Amino acid sequence: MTLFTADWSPLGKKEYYRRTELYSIEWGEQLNLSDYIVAAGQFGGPVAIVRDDKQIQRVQFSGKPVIYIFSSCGQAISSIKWKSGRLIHMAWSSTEELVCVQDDGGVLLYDLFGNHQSAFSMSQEAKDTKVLECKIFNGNYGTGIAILTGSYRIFLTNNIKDPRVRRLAEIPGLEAPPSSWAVVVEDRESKVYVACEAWLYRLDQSERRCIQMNPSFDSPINAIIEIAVSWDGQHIALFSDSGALWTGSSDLEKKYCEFDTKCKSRPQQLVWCGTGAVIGYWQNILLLVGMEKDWINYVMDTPVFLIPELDGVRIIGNMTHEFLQKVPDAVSEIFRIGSLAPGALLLEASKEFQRKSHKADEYIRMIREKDQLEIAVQQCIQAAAHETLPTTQKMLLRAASFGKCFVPEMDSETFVKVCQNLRVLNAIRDHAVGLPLSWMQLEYLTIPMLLDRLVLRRLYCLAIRICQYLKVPDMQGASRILKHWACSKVRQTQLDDDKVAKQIANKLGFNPGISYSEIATEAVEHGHTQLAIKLLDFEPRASEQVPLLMKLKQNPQAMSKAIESGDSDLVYSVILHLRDTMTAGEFHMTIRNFPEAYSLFLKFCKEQDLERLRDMFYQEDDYGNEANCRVMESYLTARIERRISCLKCASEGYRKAKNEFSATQTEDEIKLIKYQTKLEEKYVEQKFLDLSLHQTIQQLLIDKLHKLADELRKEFKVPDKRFWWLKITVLAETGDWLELDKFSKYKKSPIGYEPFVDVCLKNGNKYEAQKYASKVRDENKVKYYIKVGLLEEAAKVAFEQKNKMALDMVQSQCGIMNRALAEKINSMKAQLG
Amino acid sequence: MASHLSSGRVDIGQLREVGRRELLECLDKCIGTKALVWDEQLTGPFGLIAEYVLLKEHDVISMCPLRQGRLPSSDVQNIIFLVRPNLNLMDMVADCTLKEEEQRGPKKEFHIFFVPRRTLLCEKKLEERGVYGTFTDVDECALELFPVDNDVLSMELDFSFKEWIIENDMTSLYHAARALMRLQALYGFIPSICGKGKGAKLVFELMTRMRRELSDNEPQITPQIDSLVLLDRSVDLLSPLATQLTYEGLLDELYGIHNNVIKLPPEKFTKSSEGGPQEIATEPAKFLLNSAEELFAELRDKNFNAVGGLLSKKAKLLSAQFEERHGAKTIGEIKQFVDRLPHMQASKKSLATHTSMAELIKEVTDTEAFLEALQVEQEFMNGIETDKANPYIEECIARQEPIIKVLRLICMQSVTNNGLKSKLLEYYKREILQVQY
Repeated sequence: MTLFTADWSPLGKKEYYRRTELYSIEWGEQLNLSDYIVAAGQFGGPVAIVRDDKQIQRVQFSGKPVIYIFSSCGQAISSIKWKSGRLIHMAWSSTEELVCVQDDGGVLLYDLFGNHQSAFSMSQEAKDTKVLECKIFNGNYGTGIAILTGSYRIFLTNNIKDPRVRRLAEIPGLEAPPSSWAVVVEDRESKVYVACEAWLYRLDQSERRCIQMNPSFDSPINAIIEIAVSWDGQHIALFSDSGALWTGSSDLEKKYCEFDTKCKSRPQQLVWCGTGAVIGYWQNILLLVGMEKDWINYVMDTPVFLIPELDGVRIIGNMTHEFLQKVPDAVSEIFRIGSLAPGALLLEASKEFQRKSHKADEYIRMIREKDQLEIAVQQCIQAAAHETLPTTQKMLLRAASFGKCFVPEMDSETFVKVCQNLRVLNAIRDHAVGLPLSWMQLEYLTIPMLLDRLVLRRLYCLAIRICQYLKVPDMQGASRILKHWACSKVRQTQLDDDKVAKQIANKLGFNPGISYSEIATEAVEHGHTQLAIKLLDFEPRASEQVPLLMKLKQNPQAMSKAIESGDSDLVYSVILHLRDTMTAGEFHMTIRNFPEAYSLFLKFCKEQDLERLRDMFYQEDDYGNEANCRVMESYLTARIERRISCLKCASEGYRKAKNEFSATQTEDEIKLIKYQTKLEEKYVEQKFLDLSLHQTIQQLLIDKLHKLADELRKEFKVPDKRFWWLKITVLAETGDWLELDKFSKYKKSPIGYEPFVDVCLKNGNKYEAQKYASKVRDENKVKYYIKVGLLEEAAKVAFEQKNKMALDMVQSQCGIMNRALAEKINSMKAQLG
Repeated sequence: MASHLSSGRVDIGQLREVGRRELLECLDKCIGTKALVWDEQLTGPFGLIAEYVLLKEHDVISMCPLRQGRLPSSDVQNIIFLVRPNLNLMDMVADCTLKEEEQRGPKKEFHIFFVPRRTLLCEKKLEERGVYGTFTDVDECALELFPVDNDVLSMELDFSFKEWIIENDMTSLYHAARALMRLQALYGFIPSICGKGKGAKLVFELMTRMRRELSDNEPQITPQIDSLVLLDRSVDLLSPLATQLTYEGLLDELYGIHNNVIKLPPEKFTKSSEGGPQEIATEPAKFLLNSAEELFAELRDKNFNAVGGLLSKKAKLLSAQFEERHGAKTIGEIKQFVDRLPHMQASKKSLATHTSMAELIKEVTDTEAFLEALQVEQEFMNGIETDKANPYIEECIARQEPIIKVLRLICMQSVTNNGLKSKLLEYYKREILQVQY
């Protein structure tokens, strides 16, 4: 049986620290870390090393240095041939880019694979006076950089992605480089602590001020020569030249302890181990100091490099990669020798149970007596989460699951979550991946960020598997990862466009949430226009696809895709784009190939640009429509000559289009306008223009100009029927009964005489109406006699027509006043039998 | 006021609620007092989803229609245009904005919301007119379907048929598809869809496409609508041409029902209970017609001939109910009667209103002109003499009847005759030209 506490060291009475080996490392050729500048990313990030030319002054100085990038387990990922100026400092950003700072203040960013990403400069002053020192820190806004220039000024930017460089306040009377300095990130602000000999200053970024601080050292000191800030920016450690280590809150208000290390030289590294201890590293000694002045001393076999993490410190050596952390409470409760914590008992119980021993029951009873089963299960689950060895994890989880059986109402969510996340953690800790995340680090980092990091390492398959395993929604998971994969695919210049497009389409299919246009944009940025066009063909969202196609000058394709989408707004966007970028002729030739777009454009012109519309028809030899445009134009102008000339053009157009009818009509209109103009000249007080032919005749009739009206009728071949209608209506309305009578006798009415009766009645002249009733057609006679009130006549006609029903109708009209007639009708009816 | 919307088989009230929220979200984007400037086409439809009180609650202190010229002066902080994406309106918007800008006084903020979506052309137009930058917000108010009744939704796009058939402009089909997608987002995906006509097919294709674009954001709702039938109007052009003969149909034919509101000549509706000299109302009497009113729900789809009988039956029933008070002996019975009283009084009022309306209709339907028109329609439908110039149509043209009436009849003739001979068509055209233009 393994002794779990073998690698534990007690710090004080209650706490334990443990060193666990994460990986054994082989750095390829036998290299010694002490010869190198090392930069390692947090959260198990990659390691970059570059030969430190301050230490090695060999003869075969090979000119430009090379930066090697390894994974956490020492597998080479890439290398960068450094070609720029002198490298001052390098570090990894929170999004795992390698940040390299040159002595002239230039900052260069590289990705994991050594590809240059971007660059910016910290300031002109840095360029002029050179950078002395540089600190790179992670804050709320991402990764920031602070530099100390040769003029002893500090410049700072909070986010390398959006580099706005600010100069901080100056420190009074600074004539030599400060003895040490550090950046503290608090909430949203980064502050710089600068120690000048024994004085400590705080530089606030927001108010540009410099505040003197007074850490209360018990022992006399000459200078603070090292400052370490804890991971969360809450705690600070100051190391003095007298060997005193002062720890306290980062605002220096609270002092935790002062510890005499008895070592006066500056430590190679001073870092916080989580938040409970500070580690100093000298040559081959690692001194861990707790907040209660307790300490542990570790002796290192080889030179190492320390990487502070939120829950411990990773130690990279020549051969191994270790993790030094405070033993988590749950773990220490269970594995501490002689522990009687519920978790420890439950673990025992579970072991006995597997041995099929009755002792299991005894242990369970012991826990149950104190009613601590639930706590026991929780402890086991927690402990499992913090363990790295799968066998230990399994053992603890088995115990938890065993214990859970006795607590039926317990929520199993944490248990499931721990099981799932442990599987993920075990997978990424694997040598092939080399991401030694601890449970707490994963909690902080979150799964989406972890996926991002896998994507950065081009471990797409693993990332997708994790998504599927954890059931991450496609939009945030698989689709997104596939998109990254596709983007990286299109970035590779050497591959064949067709092949890449096919591969991408095969893999992505019509996967929901895949944005082909984003991939295509990426392709365009890397100069693969053809590939982009091919990819865009797979994009289901026209609104994304069309603008990009236009950008790529694939106008016909953009147009047909826009039309397919049915979104006329999109079609218009293409049309206008074409109109603005092409010559008129080209535009016309292009758009006529797309009937839908063509008609949309016509509609647009009809509303906005009549001339252009006419021009379009002209181009097409569409005389009819061109003439239509002319007609529309004619109505826009008030000037008669202009209107007539427009109409003339129109009529010519109609003739060319072999539309005789419209041509004649247009000519008639011209004729009418001319007539009307003449009439207006003659009868000044009367308006005729803009009246229709019918209305013109009507007006003439009202003015009793019957001759002129008749002339117009003949000229324009007004049908007889309508003319009669019009005339009798006007005559009746104007009360010209004489003329009406004359007109009725002029010749046989083409509309019959019923309308005569009707118009008379309508204008309230029953007497006149009666005159025409006799001329009404036989079948309507009875009805009309009744209408004009000649009931006797009506009865007579009905009798003549032997129409009994009509007689009934007449009789029903006879009121009390007309008894005689009613009697008469009765006798008539009797005669008809 | 919209509870009747929820009484149908699908809860349309839900849709109305979504519409209200959409509108209010737009309004709430502008902070402070507001004046709304309406596209006149939109006032009616928006009346279906939001009442004035609601707008008032959201700081709307004045409203006016969008017209040529200056806006009525008001001291509001925000001026909000609610418009259809129509190019001609943009000119008006630009004019109003420019004139308003000239005025002295405290600075106002301008906002424009397009219903149902903003379009490139409109934005370009505003840019051309140099007012685009003046607007704090250029956004859209994505309202596509307006709840007319518990079984009717309308997009209120008056010219969609013309746009699609004559101008070959698919915009309205696209909007229809979008509207249906939104409907489905609310009531679940409709499992079975069938349709007829080219337009229906296109709408279906667009919907399929949109669903694909939607990908996995599909709403997970159990479908409340079983099937969808898409009909292209051109499948049956005849029906809408004929005169409607139901009660509601006739009211619409004669007086026009717009967004459930009918305006009638006031004479019939002066309150008889008022003593003293009757005031002669000059404003037309306005009535809200929807299925919230029990009697109207029953009457609306009845052939007009059946309306009279039904009304008198209802009248008898009601008076019998009123008579019951004599039968009520015990206090309990009287109480029961009194409880029913408000409902009965409402019924009485509604009965009186509809009787008056029926009278109004009857006045028209009894005229010879009406019957003659009806007869012609029927002749066409029976295929009688559809190939000759129709004397009634000629007469209508000659009498300068409303052009819509004339065209409706000509169209009917054309449909029943499977198209008019060019000679006849030209004759009609000439007649109309000579008379009207």
